[in-house]
Amino acid sequence: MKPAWRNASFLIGISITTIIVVTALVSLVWTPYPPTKIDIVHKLAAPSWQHWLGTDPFGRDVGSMIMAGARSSLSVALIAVLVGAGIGIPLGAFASAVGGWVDSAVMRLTDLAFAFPALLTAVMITALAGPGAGNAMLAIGIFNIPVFARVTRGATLAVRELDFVMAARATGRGEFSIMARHVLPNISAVLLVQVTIQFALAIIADAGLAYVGLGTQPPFPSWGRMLNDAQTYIFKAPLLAVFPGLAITSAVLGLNLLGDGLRDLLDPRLSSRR
Amino acid sequence: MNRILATLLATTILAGPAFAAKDSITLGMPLEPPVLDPTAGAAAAIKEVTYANIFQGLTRIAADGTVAPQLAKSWTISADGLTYTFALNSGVKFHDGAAFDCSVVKFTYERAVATDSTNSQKGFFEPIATTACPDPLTAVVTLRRATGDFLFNMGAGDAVMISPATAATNKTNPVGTGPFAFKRWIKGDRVELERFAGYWGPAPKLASAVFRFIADPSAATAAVMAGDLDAFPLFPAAESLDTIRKDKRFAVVIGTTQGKTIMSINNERAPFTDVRVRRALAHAIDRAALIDALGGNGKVIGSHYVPGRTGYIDLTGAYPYDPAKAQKLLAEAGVKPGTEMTLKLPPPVYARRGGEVIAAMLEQVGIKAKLVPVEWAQWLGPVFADSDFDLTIISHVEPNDLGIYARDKYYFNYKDQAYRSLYTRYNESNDPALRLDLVQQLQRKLSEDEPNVFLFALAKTGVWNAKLTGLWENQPIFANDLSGVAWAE
Amino acid sequence: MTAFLIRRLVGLVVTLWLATVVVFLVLQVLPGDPAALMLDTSARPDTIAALRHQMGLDRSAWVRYGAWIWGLVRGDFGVSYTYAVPVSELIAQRVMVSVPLAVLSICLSTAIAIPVGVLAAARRGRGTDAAIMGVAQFGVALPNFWLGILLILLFAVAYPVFPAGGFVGWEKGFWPALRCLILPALSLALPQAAILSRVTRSAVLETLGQDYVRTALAKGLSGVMALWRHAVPNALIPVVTIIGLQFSFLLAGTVIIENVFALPGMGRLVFQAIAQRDLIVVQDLVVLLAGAVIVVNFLVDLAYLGLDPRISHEGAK
Repeated sequence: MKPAWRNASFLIGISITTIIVVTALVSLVWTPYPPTKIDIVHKLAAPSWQHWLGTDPFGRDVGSMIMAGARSSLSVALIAVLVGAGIGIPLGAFASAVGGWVDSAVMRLTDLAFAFPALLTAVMITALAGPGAGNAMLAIGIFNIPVFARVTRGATLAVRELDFVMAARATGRGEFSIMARHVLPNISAVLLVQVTIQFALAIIADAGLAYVGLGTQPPFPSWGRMLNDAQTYIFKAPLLAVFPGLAITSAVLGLNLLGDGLRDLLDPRLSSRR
Repeated sequence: MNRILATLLATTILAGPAFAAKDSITLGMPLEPPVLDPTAGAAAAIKEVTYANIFQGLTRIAADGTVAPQLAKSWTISADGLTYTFALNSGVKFHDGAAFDCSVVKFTYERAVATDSTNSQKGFFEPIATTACPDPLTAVVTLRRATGDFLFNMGAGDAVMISPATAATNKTNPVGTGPFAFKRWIKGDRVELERFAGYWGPAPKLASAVFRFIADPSAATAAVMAGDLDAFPLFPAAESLDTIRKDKRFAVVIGTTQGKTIMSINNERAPFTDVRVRRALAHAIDRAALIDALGGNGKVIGSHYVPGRTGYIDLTGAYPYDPAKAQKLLAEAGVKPGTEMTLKLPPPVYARRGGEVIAAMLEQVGIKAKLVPVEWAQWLGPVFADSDFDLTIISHVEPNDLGIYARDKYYFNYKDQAYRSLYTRYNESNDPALRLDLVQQLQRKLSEDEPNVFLFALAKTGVWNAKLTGLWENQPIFANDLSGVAWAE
Repeated sequence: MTAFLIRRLVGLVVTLWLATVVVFLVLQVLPGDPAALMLDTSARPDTIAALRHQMGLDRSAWVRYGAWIWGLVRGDFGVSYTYAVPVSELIAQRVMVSVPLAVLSICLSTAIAIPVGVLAAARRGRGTDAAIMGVAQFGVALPNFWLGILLILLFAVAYPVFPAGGFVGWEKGFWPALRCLILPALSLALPQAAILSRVTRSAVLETLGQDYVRTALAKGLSGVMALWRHAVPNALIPVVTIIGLQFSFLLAGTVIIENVFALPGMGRLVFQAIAQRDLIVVQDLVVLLAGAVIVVNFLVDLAYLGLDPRISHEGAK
């Protein structure tokens, strides 16, 4: 196993991710301008020393909005992944531990969940409960449940047949105890990698929802809605459409690289295939 | 070689007529009508396609907002204002060949008030007691009570004449008496009309018309710039107007609509029961900056009435932008800084984006406006039907709607007896001088009580080919009347 | 084999049925009345009630669900509340945009990803490989709707070669209509191609290490021949799996991309129908889209059977 500092993916990934997390945290206490401050007189200003990334159609500072947007994006993605993993992992583990018809029923349900395009589910949830960050978290989170359930079930089934689990079973331990003590710790690497992947996907999904007006609501800035606003002014202020997209892409890129790096570091078996 | 020459010649000859006077038009509209029967839905888009083109009423609303004759060539009103005798035009035919006479008038009006009527303006017809036909070309309409706006209402899109034979199928295959007949409808894309050869009036200059539906602002801009559209009477991309203005091919015409954009207030909910709070809100909003942020084309209003309508008085000076005064009024009314109010925002841009601007302005006077975006379904239900809101932004687009402030139950809950009695006098009067005086009193009364914060009149931003003549500059009602539209030579 | 097929088919029908139940239940609790929406603010309560009766909304939920399902079974999608025309007619017009878009994107992404992925595998560890994988890493992170906006900036604003949005309709001719779909299809295809090329690369690398490829090489088959004759065909299984999985993402993606490019496709119809509370259209569309995903997954399973006969034995157990 190579040490972490020799793994380029991991290093770049952790750096980008750290920068974005730190930006989001800093935005809690400081942004160059208040991100919601409207200043109509200085609308659609080009990037300058006063406004590094320019201003939007309401004269708000784009740089400050992107900083604050990191916060909403990360928090939506974090909660969504927690919901997905928090329900999906126990569900998958339970299904594989019990087996039989419970297992098939759970898998049938995940089939069903997969059949609904994620965004449609989100659109329906937000139509039900109104648009907003909370419902975006829920919508993306629900879509994450079957992903985690399936990954957990698959990984668990593989590990359960290994010798040390068999040995534990021979000592008369119950299935759930074996699951908690031996199986889950052994698949934590796989799950951690899945978490980073889902986190990245959640950021894209959140931006997509916000783009169509279903995510984080104004006045709080979000990257996706900034892109939507920018599209209206695409003939007049094309740069507005560039910065929020760059923010989304780098966040996702960072997490993906981090995931790849983690996979190499934590699970040499997987990395040998690549 | 000869064949090539012949082909070239043929092409030139065939292409020839294209350079002659154009007699077709393609118009853009932001929204697609759900159906094409103006008596079966409230959507403005239905009227924007069909009014005066496919369907006609006894009276019509002209470009300047006045009532003009249409299928009725003239009328007399009895002294008590209860009996209207209409003389109908002769030789009028529906597009399917059926004749128009008094029996159609009777059918249309009776259908509109029937128990199973789905006419969204059933209230227009509710005063009608009877419709009688002494002879085929005379219709006598008797009212239960005098209604000053009756002729105007009968000129609305909801009151157009419907043939009994096609009443059931007009939603998808409209048949009227107008100069244009329906040709086809490609859903999600366009409606095509063509000149009706059997039209009773002067034939329109245009031989055909296409309405295309493009909601997306950048797509609308692109379609206009590419010349795919000849006109976009309600252009949805205010931010692109500057670019289009620079292009000599187009005329950009900013007119007025009847849309009174207001921040509605729930007058029954504390602290809005206190007029000082409502006035404070009015002082807290910088209307000029708001209009500027939304593209700069609206006109500030000071009451529930738009500039250009008969009897309009300028009350825009009543509540100048004055955050300090707003704070003082709020303090007097006992509203503490940091008080939270919800501001519900329906989908249109003026509400969603306008709401962001207004929230920022309210913050300056210590009010935390919580923005709650809602779909139309959620606006019509909780807000409009159940009055579950603090504040909301909405454009009231009906032309003659001072009456909504006189209703027993209306979502903003303004219940003022003085206003109601003024309105009843106005509504039941047929005397123009008295009506003019009363309509001004009504406007003043509203400005004084400020039941809602009056923001601005929605502009009608029209973009069309500079060679087109006859399109409406203003929008007294929802319509794209093509009967007088032509291409300049 | 037959037993496996039957089991899968039954599963497919059950999943579809569950989908109808879920979507119907969700829409029952959705606040908002299509009749009130049609009639707007001037309408009187009795008018709204009359319209609800006309729309059949005054029947009980059970009756409406039964009528809907019975219609679906006979291939009747019902009549739109808002447009008063058969839903099948509405959907048919939208399908003519969404399906060509989806097919075009899948073709584009496959056509880009497989050669690129194979190339990277063949040049494993060298500069070409690193460059391709670097670009792919970036492509995976690219949100398709932002890519769409960038493509509009580039090819519709700066160098106006393609329209910024909108759809002219197929009756305007094949090429003018296709022109409207190029940028949207690229926006969908490029990020997918990035994923697919990574999968192709690792799948090919895996097969390259297998005995039969080594044998082929030992028998004197040239490296390129061995690659295309043996390694690539055997690498197709994971690649087909991913294409199948991508189909679901693609459908979701089209919903947003249709918004970016103002295309009158099924995704926009869903949005519009939800906003108008045209519930029957929403129900039909969701079931149709879910059905498409389920059927495609089924087809992917069938493709396995064709590509790898071993699986049929496992499946038959």
